[in-house]
Amino acid sequence: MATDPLSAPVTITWEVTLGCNLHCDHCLSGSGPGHEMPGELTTEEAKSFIAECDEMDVFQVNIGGGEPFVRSDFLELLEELTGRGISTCVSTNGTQLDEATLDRVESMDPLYLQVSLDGLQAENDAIRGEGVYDAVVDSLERLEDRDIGTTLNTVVTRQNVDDLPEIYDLAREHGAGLRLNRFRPSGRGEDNWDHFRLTTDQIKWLHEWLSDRPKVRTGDSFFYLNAMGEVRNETLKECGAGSMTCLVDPVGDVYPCAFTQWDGLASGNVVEDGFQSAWDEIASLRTEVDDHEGCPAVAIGSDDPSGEDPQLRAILDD
Amino acid sequence: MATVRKPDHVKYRREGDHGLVYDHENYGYEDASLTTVHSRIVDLLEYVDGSPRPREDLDAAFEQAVVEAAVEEGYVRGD
Repeated sequence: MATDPLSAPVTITWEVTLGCNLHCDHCLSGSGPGHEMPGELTTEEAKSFIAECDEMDVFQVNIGGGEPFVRSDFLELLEELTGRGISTCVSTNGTQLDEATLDRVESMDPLYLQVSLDGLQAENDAIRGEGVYDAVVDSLERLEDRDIGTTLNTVVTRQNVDDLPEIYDLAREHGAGLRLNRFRPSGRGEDNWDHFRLTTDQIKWLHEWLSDRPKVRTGDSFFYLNAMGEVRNETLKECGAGSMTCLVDPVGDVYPCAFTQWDGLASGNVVEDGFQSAWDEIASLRTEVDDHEGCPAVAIGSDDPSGEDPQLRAILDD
Repeated sequence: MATVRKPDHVKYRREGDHGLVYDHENYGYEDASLTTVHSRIVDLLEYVDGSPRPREDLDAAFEQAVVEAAVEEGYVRGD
């Protein structure tokens, strides 16, 4: 893919705001209350960007933030996306889903929700804030009877990895899926990398646990190996950052992925340059991303002296 | 299979001299598959996109192998 770039990404991640009602310790984008970036896309600019995604035949838009639902025009943007038939997946902290919001979300298709839960009550609330666990469980209970595809999303950390069996049960009890995300040294995670990252033993346990639960989703190249370092899922092997997917930040700047939002890796702006132009430029950045084995974001962000993904090496070298 | 149509969860586009098909029936990108396909598959998907077609129209317009591949992979389905 690096030598023959796609004419457009297959999927993109679009952070629509850095504003959020929560202030999580490990937030990949460093979001929080009042953290909106100056110059976040206006409604009109956002709709123009959506139109260009449609023209480029981007198959799926995955929306994150910040908390997307704190944007006052967010439901309007969702209607614009789904009205064009673009598959849309929204990552939310689950605290803003009142019944009126869910009524409108349920009326849209194709639309999926991914609700964050980073542990059972003690671990989740220690990271995400007091009372958040109860709010998420309340949302899950109300989503259960609605026709909205829902998945719990857990960023796996040293502190919550032992909670995974019960989180898995909680998701199943409410008719939701479970998706695991790797904790990465991005945003506030860069400051807390050594505090939250998994130990080698935890990494091996996690990969073994996953191998017995094929319905747990990962969508993450870190999980292409099993606990023995053997390839268990070829489709997850390739990092698609800058080759199949990219990240658009709240002001429209384009990066290879959500975890590589560094100045040297920006490739244009969807308003000033147009998304097609920014995407075409990414091909020249891809070489830099490709220089690192495993996840480039972890390799670069963790300052590993060998320039490799140290957690991947933990499995391969043992 | 009187008429066939493209399911909404199947998406496609031309890419160079071939095509890409993105299929996310179960959920979204987590369960999605991305497949490189022959340009004739894209021709067929464009032919049925938006309006279901009688199966015999497909058989008349496309090579048998192309129609069978599209049906087998679930890119088109009978109503």
